[in-house]
Amino acid sequence: MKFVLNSFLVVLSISLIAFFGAIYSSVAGNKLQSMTDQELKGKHVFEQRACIECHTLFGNGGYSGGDLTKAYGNFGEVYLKEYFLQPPLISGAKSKKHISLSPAETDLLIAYLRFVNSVNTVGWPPAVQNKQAR
Amino acid sequence: MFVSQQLSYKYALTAFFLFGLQGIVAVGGALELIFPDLTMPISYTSGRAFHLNISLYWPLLGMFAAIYFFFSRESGQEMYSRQLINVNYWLLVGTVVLVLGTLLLGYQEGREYLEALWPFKVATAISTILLSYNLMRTFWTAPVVKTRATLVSMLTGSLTLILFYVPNLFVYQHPTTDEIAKFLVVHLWEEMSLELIGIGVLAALLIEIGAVKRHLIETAVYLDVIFIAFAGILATGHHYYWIGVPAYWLWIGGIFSAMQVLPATVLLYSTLKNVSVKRFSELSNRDKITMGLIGSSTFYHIFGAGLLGFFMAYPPINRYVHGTYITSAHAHLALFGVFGFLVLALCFYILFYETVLNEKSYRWCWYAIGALNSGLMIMAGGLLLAGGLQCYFWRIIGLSIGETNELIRPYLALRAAGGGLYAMGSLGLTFLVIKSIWPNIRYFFYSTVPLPARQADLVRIRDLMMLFIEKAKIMEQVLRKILERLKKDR
Repeated sequence: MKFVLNSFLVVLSISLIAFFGAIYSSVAGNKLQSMTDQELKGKHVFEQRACIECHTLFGNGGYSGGDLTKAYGNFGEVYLKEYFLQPPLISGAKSKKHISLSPAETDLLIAYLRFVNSVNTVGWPPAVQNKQAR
Repeated sequence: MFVSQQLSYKYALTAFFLFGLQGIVAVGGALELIFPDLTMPISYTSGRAFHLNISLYWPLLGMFAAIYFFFSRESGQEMYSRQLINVNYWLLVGTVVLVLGTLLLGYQEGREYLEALWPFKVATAISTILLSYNLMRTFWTAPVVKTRATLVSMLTGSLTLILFYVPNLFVYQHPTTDEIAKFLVVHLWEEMSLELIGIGVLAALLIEIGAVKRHLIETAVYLDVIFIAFAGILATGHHYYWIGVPAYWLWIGGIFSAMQVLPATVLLYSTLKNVSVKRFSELSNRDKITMGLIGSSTFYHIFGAGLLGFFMAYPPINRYVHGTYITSAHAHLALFGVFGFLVLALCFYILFYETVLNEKSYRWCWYAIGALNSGLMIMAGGLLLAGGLQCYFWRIIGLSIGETNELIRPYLALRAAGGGLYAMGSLGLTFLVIKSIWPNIRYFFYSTVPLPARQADLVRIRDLMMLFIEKAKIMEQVLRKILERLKKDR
């Protein structure tokens, strides 16, 4: 049993080292772009407003509101600005609207979405063939 | 029976209580997705955050119960510090109550799953440290062989709980780093730490109720934990595919996720080989329920987590299904299906160790388990259909998310219906457990004097009676033969 125990510990250690090593090599140095002050503040708006509960970012989050990873690229700044300042009804609702943001928050959030849009997600989400805008 | 084991009762009871709460909030949220105009007392965002956080905390509490209970038993002595078990309980439960309370009041951090104000995160980390410290000290002085598989897997599981939680105490700027840290808990706690603990505890339980022999299962446990350590850790890569890390994670995640079928196969094989189902009818009512819950857990382990997860983790498929309701279906099957049922089984076993479950409650327990299982299946089925269609309309045809939502609404209604059934099952089971425990509730929290009637004693008495009846039958035959011989001789 001593041998099995030791091999378990060896396998465990090697896996952990390999795993954390791989993580280190994907974030260390300048692998990740640094964020400007405005983008960081935008991230805080994103968090305070709990966007993640309905929307996904990198595909993680709530599944009802759609993914925001490439929202900036897909919709453009003008559309997003209008959306946040004068939000439309949420899908399927007769009276409930998407939450609205103040002009200051809108600018910050758009800065953050622009930043997220620039993150290289190795081709995700998959491009749609016949894109009918929005 | 050790005092340490009794001290774990309150963990198990609290886990059951939180489990009962989880369903209600979730049904509210599911309804809000079908009827967006509905106004709930709790906002959708707080409700979802509550649901996700409680789904991490109640299995954790239940596992703490199981660890203290079985570690002390398997190591053949009291835990190093019984005081620490109590301190740990109040710390952890206090934290959970405060976390959930602040979420309901709307103090959100906006981070999925791990939404807790910083001091509560520290408290959670300290809880895991207290647990591991107590286990280490106990392990050191245990009068049994140090290579005992159950002890080793429980101990390493607990230690890794700390290792994976601590990175989440820090604040990161980049959203990619946030995601990396989040899945250390969301994935690795479940797939690594709780899995190791679960295997150890499960083996201890099966040995105790006499379903397997220790020497038979010892090697199987080791083989399983080696595979988990080998495949489970790097398989976390399947959560890292699209979060902004280099493409080599597609290879790491893809290959090691595929290998995750190995531990599942070992588990299935060793269960089928070593556990004798023949004795099922001879088990006590409590043990039958326990086995029913363990059986459910194994089922979802193989189909929900294993098979579905296997296909989903394949990068070209994941590219399309990631971030749709299919992910949600998988999460429900893997989190509740596998760990939820396992933790329920363990807590049920622990809570009815000394308390006797009456015949009527016993029958209702089966109905509750039926409701949980069918509710979960309907819920997962609805989510899979909704997710499949979402994937097709949104990702392939290119409809907007709003139009897609309109089209998949019926399947989300199916999910809500399943969720409702599930919530009835969970409330029912929690009610039955608390009702049966209630007369002795003070004992579960304070006393350390054993209860007069113990489940184990009753079972032993019944076993002896059965033995008598068996022997009586043999005796009867012998007596008959003697009688016939006597008649002939005459």
